[in-house]
Amino acid sequence: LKVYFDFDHEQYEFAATVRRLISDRLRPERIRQGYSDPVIRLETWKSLADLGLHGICASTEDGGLGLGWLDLVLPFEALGWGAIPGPYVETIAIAIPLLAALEDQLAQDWLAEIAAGELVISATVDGSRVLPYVRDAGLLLLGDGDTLTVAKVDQVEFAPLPSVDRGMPMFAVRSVSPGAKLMTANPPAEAWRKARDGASLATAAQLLGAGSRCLEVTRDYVCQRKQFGRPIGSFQAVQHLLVNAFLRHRFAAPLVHRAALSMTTQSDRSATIHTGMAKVAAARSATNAARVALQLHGAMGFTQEYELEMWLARVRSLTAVHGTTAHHARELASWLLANDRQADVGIGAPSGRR
Amino acid sequence: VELSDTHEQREFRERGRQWLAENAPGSLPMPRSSSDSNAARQWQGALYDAGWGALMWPEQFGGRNASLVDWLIFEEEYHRAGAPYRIAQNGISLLAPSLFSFGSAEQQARFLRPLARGDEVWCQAWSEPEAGSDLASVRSTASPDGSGWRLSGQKIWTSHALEADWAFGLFRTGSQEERHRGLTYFLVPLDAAGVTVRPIARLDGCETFAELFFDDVYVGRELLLGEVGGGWSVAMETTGSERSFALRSPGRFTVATERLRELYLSHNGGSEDLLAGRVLDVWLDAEAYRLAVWQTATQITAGARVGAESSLHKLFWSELDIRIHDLALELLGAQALVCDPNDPVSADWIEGSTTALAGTIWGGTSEIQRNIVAHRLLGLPRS
Repeated sequence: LKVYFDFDHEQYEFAATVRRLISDRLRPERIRQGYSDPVIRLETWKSLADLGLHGICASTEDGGLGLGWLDLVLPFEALGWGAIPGPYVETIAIAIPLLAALEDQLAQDWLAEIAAGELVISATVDGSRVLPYVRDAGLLLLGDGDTLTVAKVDQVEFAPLPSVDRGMPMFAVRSVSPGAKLMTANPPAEAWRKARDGASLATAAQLLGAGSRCLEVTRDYVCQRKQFGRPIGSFQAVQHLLVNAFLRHRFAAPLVHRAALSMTTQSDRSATIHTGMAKVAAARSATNAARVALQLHGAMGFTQEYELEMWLARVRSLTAVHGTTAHHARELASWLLANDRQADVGIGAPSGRR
Repeated sequence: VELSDTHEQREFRERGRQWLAENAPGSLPMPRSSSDSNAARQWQGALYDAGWGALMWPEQFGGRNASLVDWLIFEEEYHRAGAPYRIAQNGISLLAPSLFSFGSAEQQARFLRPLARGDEVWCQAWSEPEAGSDLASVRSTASPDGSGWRLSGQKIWTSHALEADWAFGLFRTGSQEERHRGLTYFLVPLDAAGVTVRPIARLDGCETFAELFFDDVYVGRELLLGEVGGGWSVAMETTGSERSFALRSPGRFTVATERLRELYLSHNGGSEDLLAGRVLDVWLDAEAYRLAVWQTATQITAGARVGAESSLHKLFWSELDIRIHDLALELLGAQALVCDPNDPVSADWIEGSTTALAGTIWGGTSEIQRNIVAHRLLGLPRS
């Protein structure tokens, strides 16, 4: 049977390994200590690299596993589920395809270092000079149009910004001196597309994971919290709010998983369409899950002391990066509502695939 | 993960598409009585005789023993072709799964074929004035009489009763206090002495459902399905069955959102228009539903049971259907005020809109579905 819309055993197993690491060693208290402790942040990065996460997409010549997004999407969900901070999207989803497209020894060396967990990269692909996680990075990838500049962070002038999500600290890059520039290149359009689509997808997957964590902790909380002599989770008003959030989450997931398939099998515009759909659906369902989590936790959820804040903040920050909902929705609407678009309702030919 | 037809599936899709193109009537009048349902019965007969009427059934009952995936493919083609309403749908979705699981060999041989051919049309006698969402409080009774049974009571909200020949329903053989354990499942010919069918006008005046009155109606023991007192399990067989509405065919909604897109463009909407975002939203949700069904179908094929997951599906498609039609009516504006047979596009949307409004009520209201999800999927405590 070829029409098969589920992950295989190895894909589930690897994601479960990542989740086990997170629930055993990267628990919320440790993650929050890491907000002010660079050693913990580096250890977190390395422990995930040791599982092979960073090299999944890199080719075997570059020290990677030569796999693709079908193998990465569930692990990225796990990162969101654990509210794990770090430039995983920038390093894995953006830097790998851009560097892999360059016929350059330096780029090949960097890829090997990424796969080994020895190189941390922050990146921007839209000309912006506001980037996350700059203080932890060794290299910056600055994309502007189709020009890519690679700069050494320790010779770049940057300043921290007061960030909404303490787990996604933002920085303004003020200036990049000529001495900081290690490389200027023009990766092909295909590499830029892969990087942008991959960033949308990886962010969507993290949103899905963060949303599902919001729902899990809220479910547990309403079962345990008692008012009027019984668990608040036995009240229908509470149940239906949670069910609605779960419903939206359930129907966002297949869009994210289909986008991973399209990243693997389709080199035309379909992958961009499908990753855009994934980001819109995941951001909306995660935002809704976070709202419901906050509402049902009552004042508890409104504090920084309680750990739910990690996911509430992460859903906000992930929603705002790598294509806002407004950006993707506009792109999708102009594609969907173009007069020459051909209708295509069969699964045998997923929309956009000819 | 793989989402494209195999060679065989592509051929199957092509065969279905071609047969529909050659045979499907563009539209059929909604039957309002047994006598004017002939065209719909003929179409059902043509489908069945060509092997498309009950695809997933075993060959001995006129099916193709088709997989769930093949069924989904044919459904996509059916809706793409704009083929009309199928009069056997009720029986195929709501009775046949129970007949396959609980029917005797004699019952299966007697009922399945005419059911799927449209020779005998079935309606569901479950709800009562005092037993809607609380189905286990059914009051209609069945009392033993010789080797058969005597049925008495009232059923209501019975869709398709006007054109039906038979009803399947739940009757109390135990005490009221026994709730769902005191129910038994019967098959009842609507032309039996003591059966009265009284039409109910829908909110737009169309008589599409009815009340059924049973006044000491005699049925033989061969019309009892399953065990005495076992009616609840027989009935529930349809709710968790992949052959029932647990997986409402996604083609229905993807085609509706494509038609909505055309309607939107024909009203000169561009991508910057105020309504563009809502067209996009329902289109996205129809895609999400389609993919979720494929995901569930994959899991079922691998041996899983749908169970309470079907409540999530029903909630999602029924609420989506209303949003699709609300938006269509907004676009139609004043055209949505008049059901003009010379304007089939508007007439279709208006009829579809009324039908959509019933979707969150029949087959378990959205509130009941939310309770099922809360208790069985999320494990929340009962109130």
